[in-house]
Amino acid sequence: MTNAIEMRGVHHRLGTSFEIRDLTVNVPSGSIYGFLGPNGSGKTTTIRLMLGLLRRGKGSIQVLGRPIPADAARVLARTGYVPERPHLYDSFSIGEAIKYHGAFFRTWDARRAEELRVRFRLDAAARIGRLSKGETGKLMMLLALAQSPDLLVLDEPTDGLDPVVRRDVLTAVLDYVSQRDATVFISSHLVHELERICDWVGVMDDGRLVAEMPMQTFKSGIKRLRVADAPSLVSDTPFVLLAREPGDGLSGGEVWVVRGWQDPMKQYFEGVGARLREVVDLDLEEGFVELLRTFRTPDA
Amino acid sequence: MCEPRIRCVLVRSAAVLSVLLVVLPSGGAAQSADTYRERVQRLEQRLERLTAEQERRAEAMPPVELDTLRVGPVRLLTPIPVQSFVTAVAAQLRDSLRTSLAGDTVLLPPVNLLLRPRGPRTAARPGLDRLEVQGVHQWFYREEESRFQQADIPGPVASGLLDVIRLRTRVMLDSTLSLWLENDIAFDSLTVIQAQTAYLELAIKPWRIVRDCYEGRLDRCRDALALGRQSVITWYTADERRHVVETAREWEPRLGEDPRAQQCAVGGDDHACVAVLEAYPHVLREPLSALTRQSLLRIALQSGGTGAFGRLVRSDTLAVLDALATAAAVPADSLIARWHRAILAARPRGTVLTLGGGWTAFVWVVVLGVAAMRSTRWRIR
Amino acid sequence: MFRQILLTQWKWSGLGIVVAGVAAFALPILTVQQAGVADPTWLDALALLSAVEEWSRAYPLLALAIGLLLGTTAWSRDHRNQHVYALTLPLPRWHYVLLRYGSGLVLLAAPMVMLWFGAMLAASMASVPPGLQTYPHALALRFALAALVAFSLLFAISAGTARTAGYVLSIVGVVLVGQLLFSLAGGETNLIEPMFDRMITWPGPFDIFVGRWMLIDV
Repeated sequence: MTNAIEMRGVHHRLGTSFEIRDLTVNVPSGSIYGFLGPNGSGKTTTIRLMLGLLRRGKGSIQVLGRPIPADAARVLARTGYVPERPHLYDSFSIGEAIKYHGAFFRTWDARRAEELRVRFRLDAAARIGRLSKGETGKLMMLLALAQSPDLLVLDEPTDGLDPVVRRDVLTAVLDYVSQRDATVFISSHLVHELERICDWVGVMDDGRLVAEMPMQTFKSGIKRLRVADAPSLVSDTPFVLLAREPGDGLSGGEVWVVRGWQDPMKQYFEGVGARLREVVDLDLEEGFVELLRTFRTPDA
Repeated sequence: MCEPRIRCVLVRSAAVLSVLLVVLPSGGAAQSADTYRERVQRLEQRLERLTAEQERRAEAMPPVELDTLRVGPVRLLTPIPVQSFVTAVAAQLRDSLRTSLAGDTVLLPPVNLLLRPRGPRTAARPGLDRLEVQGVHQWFYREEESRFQQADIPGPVASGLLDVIRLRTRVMLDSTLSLWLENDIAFDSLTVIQAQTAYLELAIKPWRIVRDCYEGRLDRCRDALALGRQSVITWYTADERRHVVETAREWEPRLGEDPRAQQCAVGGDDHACVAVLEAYPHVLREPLSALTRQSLLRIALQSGGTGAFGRLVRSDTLAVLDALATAAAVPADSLIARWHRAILAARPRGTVLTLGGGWTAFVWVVVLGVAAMRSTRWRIR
Repeated sequence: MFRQILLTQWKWSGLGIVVAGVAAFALPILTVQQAGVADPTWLDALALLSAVEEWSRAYPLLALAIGLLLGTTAWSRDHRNQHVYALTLPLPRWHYVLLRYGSGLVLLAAPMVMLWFGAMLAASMASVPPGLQTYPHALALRFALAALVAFSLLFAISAGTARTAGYVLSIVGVVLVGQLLFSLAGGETNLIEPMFDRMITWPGPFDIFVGRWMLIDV
């Protein structure tokens, strides 16, 4: 399996208070890669680094098999990018923006652009400066999709949009992916949204990549365990113990959050004299929260 | 430093203009040459009387208030409060005279000038917001006291005084030379502006004789400068004469009534044209103005160096050109040639874009364009 | 691609260009309004030269204004969104800058040509005294070069980073403060005047702006 995006040991300092440290990201070709992280974790900076908008410090970046920033222009020609904040010229009408944008891309699909415009119910004469947030989001998605890109990089594309527009936008992305073997890199802090569409997930916090794995692994590997008679000291666990907390008053015992859980691991508890009462599946959001919690307080 | 220079030129021009206004016939009235000379003499006598009266008045002022400064034959009387300022003026005047006349300064006629501040008399020590020069004529210098700067002000005042002295000097010269110069004995150095003015006149006057002079025919320059034969026949072509009369009929009503003017303008009779122009000399004068003629005097004195002014003063019996050549200590033809070269060399820088200037601008365009294109791509903070 | 960039530039500065074009066309005609005397004498010629000289001050100012207009509007919209859009377009930075620069030059050509036409019309209309000549082509060329220099300078400054602008401002600030300190210390050293002189005299960038902009001259 080849990677559409490969970042290796990338460093980048942003001002004096924030830096990306030793960042390694691998986005498999043809995947929909969800890039999760709280606000300010470095998601947008990572995206800007991978598109050549920022100069990296150390490390290497390859996108669509080409080095960044040396080949940024060629990569951008095959990449549809929806930035976090609207970046189009306010004075343009939608029609003008579509014409302007299309002029720069050889792969521009004018028919698709028109189809999407109609589907998104965008008035060609409307001024961009006067569009609602939802309309602006749809227009930017239209521009990205009509480029016929091999890679879609979407930075918080649905942030602040109402559920209807959000659905329209994500549906358009999925439609596109279903027609072409494109890779989608989508960053968001709306975890539940990515859960439904992504097949890979990366989690970012404080400028570092906390985890990167197939969505299925992520979802199934993180469990909440109810444990009775747990020993005070725990060592040599076959899983990763993310958190350990007292249980509620009724059930007693402790609640463990673990990663890398598999059923045969139940035997471990018998070995240490404890009893495993219950294994609870966590959804992506819960897993995400637990993951971050562990990452931020490694002694927990 | 430019400001005082401009002011200096303005002051000088005003002085020259005032003399021209006095000398020129008023209201365009037709006068014969004799009437004209009589009128000039009357005005000069009147000016002399006024001057003498003012000098008497100045002398009559209480001596305790005044200090006296001497610059060659020039005596500057000044009230004590502005003594230091007038000392600075005197120093500049001395420099100007030394540069222009060297040792010949002693030949200048004695001139007494009273410089005194005028303005609000309420202050115990009057300011220099107005400085009155009494002597040959009144001359005011006006400047806001708050903007007064010792370093700048004496310059134009000294220039103004030099103009006064120049006007006074004409009594020393032969009346022919004085008339040729229109009573302004331009003994100071030829400035760039004066040379450029002469150039402009030489370049743009429409007469054939001036065009010939411009193109280097020195004999024609001699005539155009009114140093050779002096008549409308020498100076102007028949077409020019007819054209001038035709044009003059529009503003000189007496020409409309003169049948010779009709014959000249309509019939093309050149004899009639000559007759009209001789009868009405104010209609058409010398091809080149007195200002340009004065440039020849300045160049003659510059060429002659030390003693040139003295030789000029002593040559009052010679023809004008010979007197100038004597002052310059070169043959007359050489003097005209030098003048021609100097005036043509003073051509103002034209608007025509120089090759160097154009290329420089082009190079800057390229350099700045390349600099813009090298602007970094890493722009997002 | 270039057409679209040109259209955006026109959208942002079209009105200004139209006004500048009208001004550029009218200026030479206004300059020679005193040259209509049917039979000019040399005194008329001097008055004409003086009037032409008065008007000549407007040419470099107009060139500067047009340069300022186009140089700043070329980048103002990109500055507003931190150049994100421009930088995500699939072309190298220099190529994008070149397109913007080229579109500015194309628009700049409009007032240049208008001034050229105006100057030629004015020269043909004017009754110029003998000894004087008209210089419509030289004037138009000079105007074009001055406008190009002004545009290029402002374009380059606008295209630079905030850091570059900071360096430029710092240098200016150091010179001003240095001059102030010299003055306070009673020194007579003048730092500003020599620098200014260097800028406006050959081979400084503003040499083209100073001097005589005479449509009619000797």
